[in-house]
Amino acid sequence: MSSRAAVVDTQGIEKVYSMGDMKVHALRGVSLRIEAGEFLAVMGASGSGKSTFMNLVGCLDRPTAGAFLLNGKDVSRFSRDQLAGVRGREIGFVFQGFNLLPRTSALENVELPMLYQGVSAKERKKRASEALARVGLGDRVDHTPAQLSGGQQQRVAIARALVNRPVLLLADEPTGNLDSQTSIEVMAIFQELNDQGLTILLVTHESDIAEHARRVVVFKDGVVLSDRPVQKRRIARIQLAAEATG
Amino acid sequence: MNIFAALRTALRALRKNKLRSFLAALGIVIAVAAVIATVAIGEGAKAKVADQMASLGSNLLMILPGSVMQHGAATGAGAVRGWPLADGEAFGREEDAAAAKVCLIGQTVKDKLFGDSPAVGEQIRVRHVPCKVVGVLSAKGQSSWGQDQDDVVLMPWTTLVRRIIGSQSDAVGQLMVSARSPQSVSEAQREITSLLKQRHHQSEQSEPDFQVRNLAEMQNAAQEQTKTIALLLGSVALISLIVGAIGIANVMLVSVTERTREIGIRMAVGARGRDVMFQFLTEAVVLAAVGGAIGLFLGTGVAKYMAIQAQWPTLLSPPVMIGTMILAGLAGIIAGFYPALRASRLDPIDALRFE
Repeated sequence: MSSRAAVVDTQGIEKVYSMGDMKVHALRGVSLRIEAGEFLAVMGASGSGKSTFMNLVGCLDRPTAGAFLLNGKDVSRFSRDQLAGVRGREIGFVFQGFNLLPRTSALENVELPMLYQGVSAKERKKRASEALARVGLGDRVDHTPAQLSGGQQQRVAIARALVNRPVLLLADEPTGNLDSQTSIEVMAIFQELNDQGLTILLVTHESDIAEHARRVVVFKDGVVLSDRPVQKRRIARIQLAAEATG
Repeated sequence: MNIFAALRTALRALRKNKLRSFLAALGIVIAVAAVIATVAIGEGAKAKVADQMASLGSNLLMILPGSVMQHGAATGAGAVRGWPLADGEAFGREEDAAAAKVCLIGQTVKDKLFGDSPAVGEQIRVRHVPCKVVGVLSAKGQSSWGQDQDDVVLMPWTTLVRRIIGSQSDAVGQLMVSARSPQSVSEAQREITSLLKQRHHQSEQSEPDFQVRNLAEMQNAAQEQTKTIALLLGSVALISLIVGAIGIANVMLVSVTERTREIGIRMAVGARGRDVMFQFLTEAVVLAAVGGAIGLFLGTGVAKYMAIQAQWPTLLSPPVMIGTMILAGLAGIIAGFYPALRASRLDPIDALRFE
């Protein structure tokens, strides 16, 4: 497997924002490799550069300097439209605020990424139903976000992120708007997906959430402060079972 | 994103804000309805004028008092209007001088009163005055806007004025004169003007207190009038279309701002700039097209109502209807272009953060 490229390979990426005369160095040279099948948590205080890093890895933005190889392709000089294509095909997003289209059924929300990849209506419906079933919402396909709980909405968002079979799942504070019980339920889904081989990058500021990952990277002032594997990994399924019995 | 998906998305977005969508399209509805109805009315009027022109004789001159048109009381003589007879003979100068109780009748009158039996030589009563039918006019049929031109009785004007109307004066509202040939029309016009000025005790140089108009002049006048009306209607229509387009552009701009987050979500899951642009352009065009369709329906209804209730001739013109719909669609594209462009240029990160 040595010939296989890393899913994420950043080579000294920098990001500088210009605010008038002031230049803000959000990232000052970050080199990080995420191999296929990893579950990486990125931590750091606000202003540490973790959000900027996530935006770059998510192909929502381009680095000022350095190279970023996604699945072996250097996307750091891609055009806006090319980046949109990469986002649609290779990356799945899960956000803190769920970011579902309001007054739109769960099924249609999950169909959305396929709309921009030219997937036929029939195929869209089939794959969206499957993805919803996979996150345990097979019986709620017609519900709109307003008719779903926070945890259910986040599961719809996860189904949407999975539906184009991405190489990387990006989760930005996915439990930020959820209570602790629901947070663990969502982490259980992530761990299950990771066990099935999906590469996950999780951004969080909560250390107990980060401990569900296999590896934790801490950012500070635009550089990587530490990068180490999780010693005592939390297993969400076991926590849930303990709570159910205890 | 294909056209069906874009249409579905557009219709859903517009349905979510029914009242606002309706108000946005209202300008286009009114513009299209106004164009369809006014053009129908204008075309109807034009057809009516052309019809009247066609039923007048070719070498005709019309003499009118002052500049005021008078309609109604006068009866035209068959010979003047170049109306051939189907049967019998026309009355002439002698009958005119004597105010003879004779008349010519149209086909419809003949059919009603006499059926298949001959009418010439029979007596009919016109307001209790017995008149001898001396001739039957050949059939002209209906005018194109539905008036029966054969439902007519012609008699010497002296007979009409003295015996039927019972007036002591010989004054007439208007005269219709037929020149001997088309070539002599302008000469006749000059001679009549000169003669009437003499009779009215006016000098040759003064402005006459009457008008002598020939058919070509009248046709020109009518055409000029039609052109002016068409130009006026056209500009009103264009202005209302522009106002309608501004209404749509305004609502689309508000919609783009309101849905910034939605645009961010779409971009995050793979929508390219042109996908977003296409989506909002589709929405604007759907708004304009739905507005146009409602306007078409409304305008047609108004034209039909005018024709039936107000007895006003209207003529619906399919090319104008199609043209107006195309214009409405174009208005939608133009109105939607800037808002759609703005949406497509949003930065996905900023758009996702938008509250």
